[in-house]
Amino acid sequence: MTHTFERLNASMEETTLENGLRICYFPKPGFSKTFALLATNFGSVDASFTLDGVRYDTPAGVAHFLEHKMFEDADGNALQKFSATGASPNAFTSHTMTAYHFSCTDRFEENLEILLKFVFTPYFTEANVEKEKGIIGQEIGMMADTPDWMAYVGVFEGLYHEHPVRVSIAGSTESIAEITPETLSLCHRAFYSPANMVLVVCGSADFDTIVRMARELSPAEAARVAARHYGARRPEAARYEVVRHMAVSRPNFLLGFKDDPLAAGESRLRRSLIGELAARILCGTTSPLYAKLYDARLVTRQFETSYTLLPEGAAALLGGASRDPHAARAMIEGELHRLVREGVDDALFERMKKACYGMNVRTLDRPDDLCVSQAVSIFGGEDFLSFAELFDTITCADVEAALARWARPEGSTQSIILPREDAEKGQGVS
Amino acid sequence: MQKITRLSLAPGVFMTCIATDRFKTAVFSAALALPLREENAPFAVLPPLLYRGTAAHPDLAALGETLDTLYGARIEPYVRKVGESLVLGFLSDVIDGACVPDGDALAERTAALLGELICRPALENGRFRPDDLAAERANLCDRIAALPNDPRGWAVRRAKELMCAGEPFGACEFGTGAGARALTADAVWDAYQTALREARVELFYCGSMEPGAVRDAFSRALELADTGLRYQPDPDVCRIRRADRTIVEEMPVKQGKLTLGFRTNCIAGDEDYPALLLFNAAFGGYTGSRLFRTVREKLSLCYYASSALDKVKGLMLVSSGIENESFERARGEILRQFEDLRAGGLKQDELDRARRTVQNNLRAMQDSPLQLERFWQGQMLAGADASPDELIARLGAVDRGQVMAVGRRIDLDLTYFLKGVAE
Repeated sequence: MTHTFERLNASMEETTLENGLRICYFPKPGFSKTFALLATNFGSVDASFTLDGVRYDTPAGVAHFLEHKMFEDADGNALQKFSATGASPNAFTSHTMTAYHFSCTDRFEENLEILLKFVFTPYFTEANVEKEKGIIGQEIGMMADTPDWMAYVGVFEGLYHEHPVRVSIAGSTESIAEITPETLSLCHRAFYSPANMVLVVCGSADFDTIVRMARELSPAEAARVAARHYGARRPEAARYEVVRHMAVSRPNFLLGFKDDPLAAGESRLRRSLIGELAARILCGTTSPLYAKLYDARLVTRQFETSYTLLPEGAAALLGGASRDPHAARAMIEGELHRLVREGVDDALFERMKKACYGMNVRTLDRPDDLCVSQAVSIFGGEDFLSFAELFDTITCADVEAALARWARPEGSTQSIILPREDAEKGQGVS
Repeated sequence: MQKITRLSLAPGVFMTCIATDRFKTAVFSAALALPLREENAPFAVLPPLLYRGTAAHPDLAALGETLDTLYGARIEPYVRKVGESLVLGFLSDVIDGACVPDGDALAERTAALLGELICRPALENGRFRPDDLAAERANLCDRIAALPNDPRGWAVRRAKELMCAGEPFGACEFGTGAGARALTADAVWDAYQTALREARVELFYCGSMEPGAVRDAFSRALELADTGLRYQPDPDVCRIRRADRTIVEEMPVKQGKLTLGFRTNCIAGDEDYPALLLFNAAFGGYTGSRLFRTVREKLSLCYYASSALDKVKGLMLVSSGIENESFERARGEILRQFEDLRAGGLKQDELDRARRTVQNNLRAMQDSPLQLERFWQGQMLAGADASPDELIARLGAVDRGQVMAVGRRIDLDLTYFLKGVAE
């Protein structure tokens, strides 16, 4: 079935296979490359689940570990198969999704076959699982030395009491030590059912061919998808602040405002758009508050705002480097309370809405981001490109309601990375 | 489809225009290129300082309001080191006017704002405003001090500086901490005047406007006099030769960073540059490369082990994050693969895979205006004029012998190990 998004001058082909696999294709006339993404609605937060009546609590980092191991099959490593075609393959694991993708400028069908085969074919041995622990151990070490990443990890520790998002996506060297071929097989069985997955392609390909190949190369029957557990939920943030010391010259921070999870039937995409817009109005890099913070040297040009939705969770995140994270927090929370008290100025709302709309339109030029955004939207039962129409329904009152939820007592946390006390003598030429 | 136009707007002022109707976004870049100096702080402070306000947009809040009204147009000040050139500029993207109902002249208005930022800053008594300068001087000091905060990027940056110590390329494009602290109103004003008068100007546009209209928009926006003094880069791949050496430094982080710096003796405009692209790819440029397959997949020593070229200065940097105790094994394996490839070990199949990957990447780059901006700026400052399509064609003609020959001309210059010493 073809959907057209007239205002965006874009279209999309879409279907659902008998086994439940959803397939979307965005034609991109004139583009050189074609990007394909096969994703499962299974991320780092889905480590506890019930399958066929049995409850499992798997080690932290299992989704990411599985992502690494899926590339290996009995007949070799899929990365090497892609290297023969010239395609660029990769994969990522987020809190809520594991995705495998490639981009190519020719031999699309060969590449699609490699992708479908390796993602639907588990192949785990004691030896290849053990070997991966060395590689992932180094990945974990690298992330632990990355201040921005650790600030991101910290903000979820501060926001949630029990939610598994508190644990870093790749887990720890200790948690992954417990992973066995059986753990990986269990998770593959629980979440790599076609009914829990989506294939999104963007570029120049033939939709009927994509559908035919996906039908041939995905399991005929959809296995039952496991039910997940996220722990007890509480409205307030778990901690007022979370502090880490690292080898940095100056502090950086991420401020988190806890929001209500999606209500049953609520549009995920609309909530995201409102969240992004409200964060931008509060302290985006073109906002009046950001100008004040920058003038006071409390933020730098590397400052970001975002809005994140999780199963049973939602939050606005704002942050970057700062010489005084506490002063920055006080000003941002002060502005939040002022906006809640006095309301959002209409002119500010209108221009920020324009800017947000423009940011979303840009996604159409980036096939990778478009496919990821569409996969996220499909898991929420929507199409990403309906953002254009959804924007019309967003009012100043929607933004004010979001800001009011963020401003609830004990609803925020601040993750801070501070310089180590020995940082001065630790760096530099020896 | 797409049309590449290269124009000179005035002596030393050049524009690269990629006219295409593929995108819903237009990208502009306006850059002033100068020779790298030992101390670059007076220049490096300029882009963020200029971004603090113009005569018509006196502060960040006013700039922000205009950018929002242009559907979230973005303008980012930047400072880059491109070979032996220091590049100061603004990079901007804006959605195509055809995507929105009231999108008339979105691109022209964004170009005008770029010109305003470069040529008509907010001033006080004929100098930059003292408060602005004081704040950006402090920001620059912070930025220089913060460079090691990202250990992965820092290790590569540090290795390049050590390799090219004593050459212009060995200087930090942001300047030194002492240089930044010492900035005065007069020194910064002089640097600004020097930049306007002597910089080679590189303008870039990728979007749906015709080249003539882009030229007119830039000409209206920028007032750049024909001074006869504009810089012409003269890249030199290696001004000081040293025997290869090992330097170890420590940082209180968990993971060690191993970096091997090579001199390729070959830059983007050279005849054998396509062969070098293939050598780098086969060695460590993608997931099918020797380094990925051996250091990561076979030996499980790291998460990443890759090589990358600097096409303007003629360097190849191998970088990998490892345990401290893996230093000898990892370095040994990297050098073993390097020697094997150039001594005759490169297989035809291995070359064909590398070639397909590099060609694929160059074709895919044509879908990304931001990557194209970087590509063309590098080409222009390296004195190379090959388009991605021309490179793709030339890659097709390279044989095994040529790749191994270019490999034999590569010299190991430095082993740099940033040792992780956190408990």
